[in-house]
Amino acid sequence: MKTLKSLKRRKFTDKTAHWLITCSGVATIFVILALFIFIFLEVFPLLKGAKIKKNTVFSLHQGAVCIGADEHMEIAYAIYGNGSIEFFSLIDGSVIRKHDIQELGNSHITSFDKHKNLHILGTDDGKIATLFIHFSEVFEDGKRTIVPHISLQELVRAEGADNDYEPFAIKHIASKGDEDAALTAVHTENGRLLLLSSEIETSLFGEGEKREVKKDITPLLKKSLKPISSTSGAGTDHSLPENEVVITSLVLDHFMENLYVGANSGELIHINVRDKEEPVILERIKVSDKPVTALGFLLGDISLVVGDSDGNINTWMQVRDELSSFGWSLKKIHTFQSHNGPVTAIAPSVRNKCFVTASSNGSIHLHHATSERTLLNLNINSVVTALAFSQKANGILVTDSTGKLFRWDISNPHPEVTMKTLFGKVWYEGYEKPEYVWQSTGGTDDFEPKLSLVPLIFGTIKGTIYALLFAVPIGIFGALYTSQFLHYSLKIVKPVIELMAALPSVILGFLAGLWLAPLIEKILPSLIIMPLFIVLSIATAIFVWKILPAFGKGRYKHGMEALVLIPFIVGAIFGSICLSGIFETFAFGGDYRQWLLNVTGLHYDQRNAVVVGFAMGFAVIPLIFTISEDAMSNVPKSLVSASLALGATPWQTAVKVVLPAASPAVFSAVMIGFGRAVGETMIVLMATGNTPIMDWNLFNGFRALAANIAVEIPEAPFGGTLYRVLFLASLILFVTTFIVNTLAEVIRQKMKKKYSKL
Amino acid sequence: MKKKSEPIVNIIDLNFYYGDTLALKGINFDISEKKITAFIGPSGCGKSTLIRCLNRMNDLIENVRIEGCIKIKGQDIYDPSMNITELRKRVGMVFQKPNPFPKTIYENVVYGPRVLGIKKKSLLDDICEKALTRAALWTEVKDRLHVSALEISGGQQQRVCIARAIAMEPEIVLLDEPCSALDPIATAKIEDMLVELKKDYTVVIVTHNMQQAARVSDFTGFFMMGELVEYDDTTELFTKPKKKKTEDYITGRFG
Ligand SMILES: Nc1ncnc2c1ncn2[C@@H]1O[C@H](COP(=O)(O)OP(=O)(O)O)[C@@H](O)[C@H]1O
Ligand SMILES: [Mg+2]
Repeated sequence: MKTLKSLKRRKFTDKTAHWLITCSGVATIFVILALFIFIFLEVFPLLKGAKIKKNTVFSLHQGAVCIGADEHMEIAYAIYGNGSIEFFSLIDGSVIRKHDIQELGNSHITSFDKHKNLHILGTDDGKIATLFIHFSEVFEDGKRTIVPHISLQELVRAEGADNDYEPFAIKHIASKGDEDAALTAVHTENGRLLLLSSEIETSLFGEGEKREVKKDITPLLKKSLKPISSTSGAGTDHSLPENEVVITSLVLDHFMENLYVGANSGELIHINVRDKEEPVILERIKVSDKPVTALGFLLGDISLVVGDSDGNINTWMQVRDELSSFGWSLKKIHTFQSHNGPVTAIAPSVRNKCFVTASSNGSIHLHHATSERTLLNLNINSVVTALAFSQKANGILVTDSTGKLFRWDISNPHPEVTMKTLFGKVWYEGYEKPEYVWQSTGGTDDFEPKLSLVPLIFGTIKGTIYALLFAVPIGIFGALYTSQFLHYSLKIVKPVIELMAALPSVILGFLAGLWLAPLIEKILPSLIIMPLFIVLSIATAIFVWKILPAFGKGRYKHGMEALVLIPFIVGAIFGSICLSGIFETFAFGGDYRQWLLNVTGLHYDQRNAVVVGFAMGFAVIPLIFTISEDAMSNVPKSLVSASLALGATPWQTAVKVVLPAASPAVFSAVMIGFGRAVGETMIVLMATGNTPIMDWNLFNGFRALAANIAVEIPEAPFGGTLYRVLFLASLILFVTTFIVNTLAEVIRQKMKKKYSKL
Repeated sequence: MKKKSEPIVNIIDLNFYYGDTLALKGINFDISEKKITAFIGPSGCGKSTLIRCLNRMNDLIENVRIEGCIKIKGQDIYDPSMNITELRKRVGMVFQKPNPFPKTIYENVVYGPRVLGIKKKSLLDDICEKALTRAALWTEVKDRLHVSALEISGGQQQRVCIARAIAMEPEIVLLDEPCSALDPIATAKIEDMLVELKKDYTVVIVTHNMQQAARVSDFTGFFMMGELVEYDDTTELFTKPKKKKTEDYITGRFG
């Protein structure tokens, strides 16, 4: 009876233990899986493209010339050709306010340009009206009401009031300006291109005096009729009508410096208008085989979107060019999905590098410039008269000739992330060619985020390789020495090295960045001669050991010989540091940094890959050392004895017997070291300059994936693109470590099988 | 009584300490060339210690001390000028438990020659065949030379170890209880082989099995508590022991 009871108890204990162990095992797997899923869920939205959330249609009285809306897309305005303006609710379509620009009289609006809140309208009788439209928010009983404001700021005549010219309609207008200065280019029906500038000049007494300049640059255009340059892509077409440039579009940048004129011939003329009195044509380039029909800048006024009558859409940008007379030339950067009909309107986002294009046939496309993607294709099947892109880049407004207004609410949270922008070369604004660049945030709002992970992956690999180059030999040979040669009285070495592993990496990083980096910079030349000195000193030590009398060497002090080396090696290190200056003068003419720069063109960074290699090496060495040493110590003594008894030297035994037998463990030690180096954050963070450059050069820094996460997290708003890209970086780290560890384990098991039957 | 040949090893006043414990006390005797010399005695009496002194395997043990001298062909092997690896090439050793390397049979046998720097395949093949033939294993494994040495039977493994030792062409082969882990059939094979071996080599064997000593050896030393009690021609020692202790031991009154 008693035995039955104890049997039952044993069974119970067995079962409990079994369940407990199973549960913890499953829980571990579950936690890892959950972590993986969590990270993945954070990354997943990056993969989703743009989508339409809602599509609403309202009726206006007629097709508008220009439309816009407030920031919240609650109130829209439409400017009609007859000079009347209507504000209406974007929720129910009801008209909130009507406004007529009395001053315009019977003039009809024929062209317009928009700059911030200013709407510059050109009329059929040569007038230019500047309208200021803005919205203010009023809070009443916790309710937000949006109040529209409108005022006419200026009304001028393009040709001037005092001359007798018959007024000509303004066909195209481009204008930019601020409180102090404004510049407007107009193209009139009679084919003239005029430049109107006004500037407030503050006199000594603080009184502003408005200075106006009017310049007719039509003659300039006529002079430039012979093509100055042409792109290879479009081919040179010399059969242009010699006497006329048919202007189809105008665009002016907010620096009030560069005016681009699109022509019927498919050409783009770049006019520098910095000097209002003396504009110069810098470049005339064929951008299309078909007439240019629309021009527009992207946010930042660097990339120029060009649409032609065939519906092709490209972006162009000024790129440094030595062949060009003024050092720059226009280059085609990105190509987007084309429309089926002529491109009539381009609306850039004021948030990011997205833009909307519309064609007269009713197709509307949403593009993102950096990623060279067309995100949405919309269609209204009627003639588009006006197009607007909401200020938060989350809505598109379009009016058609029948007086309908279409509103699309879109969700497009991460347009800048694609496989190509993450892992491919991208031609960014301000770059001379497509490149891998990581630069997530910039100083200005119009900054183009550069989110290539390639430099970071490169940095990770670079740091890992240099660290392993340093740590693997030292770790393995150190383990071999400690396990096979070291005198038993010195076995304390092992726990000491193991203690090193407990050193927080912050301390290693701190030491590396603040102490080691300046030190290495100071003694780098001596590091070059140091190996030679050490080899020489070891040779001397061996020689001294040989000629020393047998006395005192001790019969059994096997492994102690190495201690004799210590003073020699210390001497060598000290000697080479002392000779550093002399060597530097002799070999590098006084300054090795200068020499590096002159001879190899490399720049020496104080916090460089050597420093990281050292510091991270120190983090990795204890790992590799401990695991390898354990395995090597556990190689059966009988095998070592067998080898020694066969007359093999201890060294031969170590390499031929111990190392192969311990190789599975050594292999996994290296892999674990690899994992540590890949994921190491603090050391890389503190010991490099964290510059995301791609250069194998030993004396440059780099930025690793893990360190990048630490660097950028404070810059990354929750749920934003950068935030998710950082999660993607961690997913990459996670998956890499997972794959490496799994692979290491599989290989280790295979190797272990081979050596297991000892 | 067998004719005593030239002594190849002289052991003179040998004392051996493990730390402070005296494990061998005043050992004095000679080992004859091309004969089989057996060490018998109760366990712990120092047989292994003594045999390990002959190729300085004791050097691997921490904290040991030796006094007196051992001469092989007149040369003191504990002289500081002695090259230990050279000595071990001349004095091969086979251990109690078979300890083949986790490599193929072939690689096990040619390990020593490879360490010596022999690289020529044909030469190594020759050495391997000769050594395995001597170790009476050739016919059994010649088709399996490239099978792992860990995949053959214990008796075969031990003979691989013997082949591995004699591939070095040593002058002396030391065997420390080579059959203790083997079954009687494997033991018999090894004993037959030892008798063959002595034509070319001096063999020293430690055994706790008196029958084995009686069967294969020419001379036998009986050890007790670290002392050499009696050393004589094998037949002499087993039939007419001079010491009471020897007689007690071989007649099984203790041990
Ligand atoms: N490595 C060692 N360290 C300390 N004492 C040892 C060691 N090896 C053997 N001894 C001691 O030396 C004595 C002789 O051992 P050993 O030569 O192995 O005897 P045998 O081989 O005859 O059984 C024994 O008392 C044993 O405890
Ligand atoms: Mg023994």
